Amino acid sequence: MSNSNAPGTNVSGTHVPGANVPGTPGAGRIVVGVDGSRGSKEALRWAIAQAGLTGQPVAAVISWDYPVTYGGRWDVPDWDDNCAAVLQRTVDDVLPAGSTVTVTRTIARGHAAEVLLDAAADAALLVVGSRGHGGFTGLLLGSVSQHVASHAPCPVVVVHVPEPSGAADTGPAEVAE
Amino acid sequence: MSASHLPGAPGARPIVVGVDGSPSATQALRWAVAQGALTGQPVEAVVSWEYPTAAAWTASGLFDWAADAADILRAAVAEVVGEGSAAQVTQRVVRGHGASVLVDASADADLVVVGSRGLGGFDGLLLGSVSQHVATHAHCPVVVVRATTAPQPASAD
Repeated sequence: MSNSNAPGTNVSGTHVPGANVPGTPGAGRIVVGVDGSRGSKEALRWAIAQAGLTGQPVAAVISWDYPVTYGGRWDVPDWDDNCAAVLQRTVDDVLPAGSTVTVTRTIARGHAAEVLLDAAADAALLVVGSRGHGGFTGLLLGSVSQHVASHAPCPVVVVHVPEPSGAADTGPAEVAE
Repeated sequence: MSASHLPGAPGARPIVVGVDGSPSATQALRWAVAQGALTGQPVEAVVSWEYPTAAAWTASGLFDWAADAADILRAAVAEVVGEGSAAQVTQRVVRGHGASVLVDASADADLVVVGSRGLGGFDGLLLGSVSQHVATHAHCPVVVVRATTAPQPASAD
């Protein structure tokens, strides 16, 4: 009769009404998914602005996984290092100078949606861009954003990339891998 | 790149929240009111209504859908902020489909807050079509809020 056994709702018993509303003292952290895309940058920007008001820490999370076509014969890139660089660059770009907001950085191996849901288990808020690097031109809501909006135990903020004002927009990719 | 839509930015526009009487929409309203208190933005609660597709034109005048929607909205606001503080939330009743009403409203808002699912759908549905459509098409950031308790099966009406 209810969906209490559905994925993503199994922690609902640990939540009390109102516990996740903004400004609640002692509320958890704000988790934000980062992949270097413009959407994820705007998500981090939103999360930091929110954290500036609430005093919550921001956890910026990036993930990587082996490509499905990966063979054993090539030089293996250091995915952790790549992710660390993208995460560092994104935080440096977005965090305003002199900001007192605490931003922790986490690099995890796994599918982005799964990694973000794990990180959101104890979060007050999960913030994602409307789409990341994947997908195709014209895609409005990416699969990761849609999945976490469906399954996260906490409220999910979907932040869209600002529409280009005059300048040609070549797509979501801004940080080279 | 505009810095608009950021929480606490100067010249803040309203926080729009969709209400339909469902548990997650009421939690969305609770979230929106707390966010408004934090940022100083006004909160605008919107309920939408449409004639049922099965309503014959002869029957459409027998029921006041707009008044019914207004009652649902008033009850939700009273539940969240209390009767005495209802004035702090602007209440709007709009005829139209919930998704298009909220996407339209997002054009003049800094944030749209929706419940993860409304009264429609089926048991086990995690993200309703209105929430998904708004998250996809809104002109500002969208917050999807889950009910803190398992949703009750939709009652008849």
